[in-house]
Amino acid sequence: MTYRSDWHRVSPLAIIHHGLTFLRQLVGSNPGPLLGLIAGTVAFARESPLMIATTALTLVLLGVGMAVMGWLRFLYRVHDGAIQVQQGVFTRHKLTLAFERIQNVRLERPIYLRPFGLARLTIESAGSASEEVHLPGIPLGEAEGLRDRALAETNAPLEPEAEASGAGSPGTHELLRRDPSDLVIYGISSPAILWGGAIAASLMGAVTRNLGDDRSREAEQAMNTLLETMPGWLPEFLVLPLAILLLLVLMSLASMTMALLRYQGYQLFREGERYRVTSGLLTRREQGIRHQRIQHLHLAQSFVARLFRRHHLSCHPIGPSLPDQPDGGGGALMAPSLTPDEQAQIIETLYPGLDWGDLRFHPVNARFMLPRFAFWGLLATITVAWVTVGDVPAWVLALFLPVPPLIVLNWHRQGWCLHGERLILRGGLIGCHYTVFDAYRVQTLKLFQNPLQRRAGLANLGIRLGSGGFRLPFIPWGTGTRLMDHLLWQVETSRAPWL
Amino acid sequence: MQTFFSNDSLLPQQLPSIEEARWQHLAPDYARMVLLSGLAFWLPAGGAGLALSALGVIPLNAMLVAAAWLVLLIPTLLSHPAARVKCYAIREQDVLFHEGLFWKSTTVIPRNRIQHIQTENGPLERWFGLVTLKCYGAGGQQADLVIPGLEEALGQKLRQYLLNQADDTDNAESTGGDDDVPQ
Repeated sequence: MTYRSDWHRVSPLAIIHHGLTFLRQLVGSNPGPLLGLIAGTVAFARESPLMIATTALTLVLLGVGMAVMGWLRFLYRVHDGAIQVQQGVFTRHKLTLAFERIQNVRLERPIYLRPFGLARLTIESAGSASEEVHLPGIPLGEAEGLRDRALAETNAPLEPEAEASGAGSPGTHELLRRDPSDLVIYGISSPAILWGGAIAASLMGAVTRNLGDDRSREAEQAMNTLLETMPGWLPEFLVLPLAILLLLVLMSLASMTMALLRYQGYQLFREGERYRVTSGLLTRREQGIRHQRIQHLHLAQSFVARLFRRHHLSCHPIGPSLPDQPDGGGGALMAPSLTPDEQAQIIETLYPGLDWGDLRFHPVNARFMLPRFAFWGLLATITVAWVTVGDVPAWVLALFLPVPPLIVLNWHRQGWCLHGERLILRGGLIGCHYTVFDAYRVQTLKLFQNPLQRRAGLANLGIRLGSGGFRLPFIPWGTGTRLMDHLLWQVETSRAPWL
Repeated sequence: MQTFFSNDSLLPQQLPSIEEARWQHLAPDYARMVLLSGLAFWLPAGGAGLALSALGVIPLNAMLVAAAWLVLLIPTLLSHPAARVKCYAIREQDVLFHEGLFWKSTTVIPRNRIQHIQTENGPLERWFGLVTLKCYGAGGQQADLVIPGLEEALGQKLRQYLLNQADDTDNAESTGGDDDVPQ
């Protein structure tokens, strides 16, 4: 495909994208002023409906105006082996991203662009988030051409294994396909559910605590109304657990729906030396990444996923890793809800020769538990004092009972394994997660110890890759220095392309 | 025929160890600068606190203010020995930095992973003729390795060396502080 070396404007439909981005930024970065504005508007609305209508119209016109200006000022071109973008309504930004620096490409087809044969292309470099290029509303053919060029172009030689497997050849091999049943399991076992449940439980707890307070008569009235609507045969002490259960079920349903929307029709392909994922119900996403760009692999199994014997796998390219996000954040390439066989197959593809069943993990020192016991012990002591002198019920102390076994479990989960040129780190609490990477991908190493660790001859090893940082805690000092020397030797003697 | 190839086995204990690195201390002025910058803030702050307390502007006992000031002064006083403990090592293949009085750490960045190098010096550093060297890897937002308290000429020399231009000593006077490392 040939590219004209002049500036292009994206489709006018990108105004929707600019409008949505403007709204997201307004809500995300300035929630305080926005809430104040809404509160002021509501107060004025009682006095003067005309004023509120005028304000609303002004705001809408302002938003549309900003979106149109954003579209008019957004120009892009392919020039001299790079994508160049000019954008910004008040401040002009110009960004040049060379094809050889591109790490990750995402092609999305939102529902409002699909009927017009348009797509949204996101291109990420090894730099910061400000170096991302978003091209909203460009013709699908052009987006695919740019994607192919970005994924094909590199300044590094191909890896032998990639050449052997036919890198650059048009052969496409399907590695994985997800059915709705797999996605339902992914939705149920997403860790976000547990966090949501914990937040819901704490909120419900706060409501019930406030019931006896004179200041919260409204909360009591609300709870009484709720109790009156309950069937007569339901004992009162069951209301709270049932409410939490109901919330968890609702959140599970929401999570399953999100998983189906996000990963419906999921397919993972290997095309020579690159991987491509297509998925999404409303917005069709296509994400591509070159094998050499993958910095580390994350394999996670939550408590619920453990019941289904499933693992969720993500491959991380260079860029900040955001583990709190369901898809690992930004450029991570997800393979959700893998059965043991599928997991073995994908790992064999990504890291040939890594026999998962044969891995023997080294434990970390049992002193790993000491700071945790100290923290929770202090908290328990404060609570005991509070129960003794205050009006806190004694049953609150029972909440500390699961803490010691959980700390021991957390210690048991920690481990590491050096398998040839690969390092595998293990962690987790009730669930378990693994991080796998080639030693030559290491960017920075840090060996550190506190005074108590020094007395015990222990240290922590911090490892930073381009895709995030990891910590190997409470290992013997000698092991730490030897591991550090070994990893440095691997990095400094390796000629493999890593960026 | 002469062969230029060797492939000797390397045992784990033969690997170059970070414990054998030749550590270099920072410039002696650095510890003085750190102490001075700390005292330049805390001495006037303590004096002002005591004066306001004595005048009754803040409703706290002067003894209490003095005690709080002394507690807050401890980290500043410790910054001097902490600065003297800091040291760095430049090896053929990597750069090391060691710091910490009680919480000790050793950081290493391999030279072939440095993407970007920066030198900077604030007003106080300029006064003492010092410079801070920052090495950035890929994917991070912050510097991976920071060596403060280098004498200015040495800092620029190190930057040149790490930029893989050590042989280009004629250009040593080109001391712009911000460079990408050719990969």
